[in-house]
Amino acid sequence: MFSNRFFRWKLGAALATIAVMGVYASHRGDGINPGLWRCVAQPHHWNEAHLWLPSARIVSVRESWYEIASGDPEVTIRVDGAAPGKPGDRISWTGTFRSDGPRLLTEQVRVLPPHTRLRWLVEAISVAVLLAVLANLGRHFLFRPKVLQVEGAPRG
Amino acid sequence: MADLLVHTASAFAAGRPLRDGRVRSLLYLGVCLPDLLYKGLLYIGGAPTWLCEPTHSPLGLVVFCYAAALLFEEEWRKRAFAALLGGAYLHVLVDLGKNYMGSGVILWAFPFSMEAVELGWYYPEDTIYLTLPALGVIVLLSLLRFSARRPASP
Repeated sequence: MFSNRFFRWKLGAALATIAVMGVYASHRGDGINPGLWRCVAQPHHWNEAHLWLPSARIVSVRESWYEIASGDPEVTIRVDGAAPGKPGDRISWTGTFRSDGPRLLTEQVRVLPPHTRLRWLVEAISVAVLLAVLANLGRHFLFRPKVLQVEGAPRG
Repeated sequence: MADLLVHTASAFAAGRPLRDGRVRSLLYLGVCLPDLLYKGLLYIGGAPTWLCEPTHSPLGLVVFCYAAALLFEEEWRKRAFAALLGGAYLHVLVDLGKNYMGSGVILWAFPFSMEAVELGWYYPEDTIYLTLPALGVIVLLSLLRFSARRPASP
């Protein structure tokens, strides 16, 4: 399994399996938690679909409903019920899409805390960590002919 | 790649008994691998989200780690595979604790099921609170390893 025998076939089979897994997951997952823009574009097709919006912005607030903007491309949609925050607040939301309106029915909602805006800092730290991990790996595994030559060269 | 510092700290702790620095370096890569693959496919490859999901599933990771292990020299492949897969599973275990409001985070039985599970212990954005403790763990364990390697002074 790990030998050099049929190496190209093994590597090719592994890469092909990865590609098939990706396509299969994409196909099977297509109807699960669809993008908000897809629901708004085809409201009758996605009626009663369960949605999860990791991040949405409250655009406006009324007495019995509010509007949120979410997704890429950004879509604005009405949400039934009392607003969990004020305009400008960011929320995370789960619930059901209804084609009449179209509108959203809330199942769970929470206002995202202010430190969510520090996401870029965590991402930057993660990139630095990844570079350090790769450098450490290179230190152990990279082939360095010059080092070998110097170590193997006769002294004098 | 949201919180690789925390993931790497977990690998530092789990990899402490390993004596070979090369195996440890593979474990550290393994713990970064799921996010590296996911974000790479998503942002560099422009792939849809669902296409990237096998990078965080136990069976999917076996294939990814096997393909990665094949890139090493023959005598190192078994160890590389074990270390990469161990690190990747550690990553998935830490991610499993996240709270995505019931939507799930890990496709635990992919490709047999598309059910995603989560333990809901912490919200994804809360990992920022773990940044300094994670850094502390890495520094502390590095110092311990360094002091253990230094010969005792006469």
